[in-house]
Amino acid sequence: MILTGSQADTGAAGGKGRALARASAAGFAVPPFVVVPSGEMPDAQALAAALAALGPGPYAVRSSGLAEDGAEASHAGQFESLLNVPAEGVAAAIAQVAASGAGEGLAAYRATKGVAEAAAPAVVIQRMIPATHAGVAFSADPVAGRRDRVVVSATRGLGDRLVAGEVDGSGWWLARPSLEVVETTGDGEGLTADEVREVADLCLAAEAAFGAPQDIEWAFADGALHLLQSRPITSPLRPAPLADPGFMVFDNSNIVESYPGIVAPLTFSFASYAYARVYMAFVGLLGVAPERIRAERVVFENMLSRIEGRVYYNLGNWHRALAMLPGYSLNRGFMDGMMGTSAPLPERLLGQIEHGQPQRLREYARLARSAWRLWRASRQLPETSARFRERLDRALKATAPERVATLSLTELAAEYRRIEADLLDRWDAPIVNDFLCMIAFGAARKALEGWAGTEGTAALNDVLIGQGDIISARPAQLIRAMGETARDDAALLAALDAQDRAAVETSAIAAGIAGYIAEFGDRCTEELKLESVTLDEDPTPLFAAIAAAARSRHGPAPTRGDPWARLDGALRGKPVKRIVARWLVRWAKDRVRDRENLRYERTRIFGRARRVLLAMGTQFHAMGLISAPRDVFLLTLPEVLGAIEGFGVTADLAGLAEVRRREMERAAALPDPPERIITEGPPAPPQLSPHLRKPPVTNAPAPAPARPQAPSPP
Amino acid sequence: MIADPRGQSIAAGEILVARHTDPGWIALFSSAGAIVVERGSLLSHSAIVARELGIPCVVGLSDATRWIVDGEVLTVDGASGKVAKA
Repeated sequence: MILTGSQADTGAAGGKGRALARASAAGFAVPPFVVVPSGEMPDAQALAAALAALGPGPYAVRSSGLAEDGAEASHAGQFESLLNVPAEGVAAAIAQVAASGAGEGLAAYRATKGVAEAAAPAVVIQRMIPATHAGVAFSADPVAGRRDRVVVSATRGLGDRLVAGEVDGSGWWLARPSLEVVETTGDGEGLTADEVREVADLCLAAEAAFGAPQDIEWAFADGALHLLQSRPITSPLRPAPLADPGFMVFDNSNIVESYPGIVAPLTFSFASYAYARVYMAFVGLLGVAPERIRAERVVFENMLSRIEGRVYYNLGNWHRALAMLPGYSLNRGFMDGMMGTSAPLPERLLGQIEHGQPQRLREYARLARSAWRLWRASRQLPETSARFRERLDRALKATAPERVATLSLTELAAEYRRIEADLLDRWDAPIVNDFLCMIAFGAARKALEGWAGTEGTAALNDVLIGQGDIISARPAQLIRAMGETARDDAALLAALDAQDRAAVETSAIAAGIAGYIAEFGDRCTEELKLESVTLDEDPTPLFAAIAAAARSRHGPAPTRGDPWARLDGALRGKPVKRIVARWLVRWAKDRVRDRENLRYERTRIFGRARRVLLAMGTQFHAMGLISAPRDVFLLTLPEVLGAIEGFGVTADLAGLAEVRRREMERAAALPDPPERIITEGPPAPPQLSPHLRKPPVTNAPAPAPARPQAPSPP
Repeated sequence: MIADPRGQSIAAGEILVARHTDPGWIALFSSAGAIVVERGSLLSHSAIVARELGIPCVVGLSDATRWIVDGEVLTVDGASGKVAKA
């Protein structure tokens, strides 16, 4: 008898016959087939009828072993398989294939796999389809054992030569579940990206239907994709990762101004450390108990994240830190505003954040205590700032900048530790002032807007303009002044344009340039990144700015009337409000000024740290530990200090640098990831990939096409 | 329209349009006719320095670098925060 359709879902149809029956029953586009059960030979009439039902030939006649295609031992390829058999040759082909069960290779195969079987195989007869492309696909990477990949192999025409390993064809590795192509080999065989994805989808559908990772054979014929067969992958796979309910939110809207683009590992680890110390000090200042801060250390040490080379806030941890402050449960919205993030925190994350139960009375009492401490800190700010500057000056003067390059590694590490202990660990003045600045500016703006509308806010801006003592404006003023000198000096302008350092440094603005670099040399582009090149190393950006200023027709800054008079005018007839407004605005003005000035101090500290770390890089390079002095920026702070102080783990610093360099080059080629990234579980590639737009991977002829597996003939 | 200030310069009267700036951009600020920045707030360095230099400046204008085409003529009103294409 001959089995057709679902009749073949029986042991007598052999592994392949049964799998075809099940695939067909599951709705897959399987080319028509019939099965001759093991040990039977149909009579000519029944065979002719069965072939007529399949449609015109030629046919494929394949063995279907009774123990074949189990998950443990696929047997694939050990039985015979005949293709392109005309209708009149089918009977002979069935006899030949059925007899192949006695082959020597098969006996040996069974011996190795420990499978015992003597029965002849069943025989599958299938209509050959006129394939334009065919191949195999795996719903997991059988070589690497990875379940997060789909592997597609294809060739033009029939897939038998590919399956037999006679041609290499082309390969695609696709990430699950996005089906994004991550790697390719070969020329692509003229398949479109959509067709490859269609094959991968079919493979995933087979896995879903049969409940285990599948190894399929497929073919495109007449524009439609067919499933030729599907069997479980028999090579060992890695266990599927456990589902991770962790929920993480990353946001860079407020930090990208300080750390734009790709940030080197050294800068990131330095910034991470600074953020931890600064915010631990800040919540302590507002009255959070030291033991609580110690217990929540991990929160402060993970305020920043580095995703594809870019710095992000770990928003959950920011909120966990802020939730330690009183008032969090009363006014969370304010916190979002303070963070300056692009969107509020998702409810799901808020649910994870523990904060004081809003027992209103107690919460207000805590709030009052914090307000009192803040008020006290605000009163003490002038002294705190003075002491901060003193420590800063002492730290910077302890070693003259030019002497840094002459220090040994041990001395450099000691120098770094001094900066760390004196400044990074005691970041009191800037953090208090920054917080007060935000409150002062917000309060002044709100008050003036409420009391005098747009005229009020315009008056506030006027007061804040042209304060005269903001250090951030000094570079621009100096550049303009040097531009004035250069304007009528054709030779100097030419030297600036030619970036002729020697000529500029002997010109009329030589002293101006030297003074500028001494004072503002660290205020380079992306000044907070340690890897940024400072003006003393490369003054050409300064030359270009002076040349541009010389050519610009800037008049003097527009003169404005007395801004305080404008403020008074806006509040005419409101004497009490005027007094309050004047006080608020002056407070805000001072805080804005201090903030900018303290930021300049921060730049100087970072500048010194950069110099010290680069000197370490120079020594590492001299000792043959890294291949260029600037490669020190590719290491983390603990790696650098560990190599000097003895707690380092990896001796191969050059190897570490190389890994990081490759990662950064790859990350730099990506378009900027979005401001807000949400992941389930850690921000590892599988969770991240849906958020990242990758440049398309195209098939390029690969020198050594690595075949996914040696898939054997069916 | 400038993505990275290094090696860039702007001619007199040109308006600087950027995604974000930092103090290293000061060299460009000093010759800019006006400044438009996608990121930042009234307390950002760019805003403070522009106020100090008396240059009209609008910060926090999302997607400015996509909306504005390099070379376009713009009107920038630092008081109201309005940026208009001429």
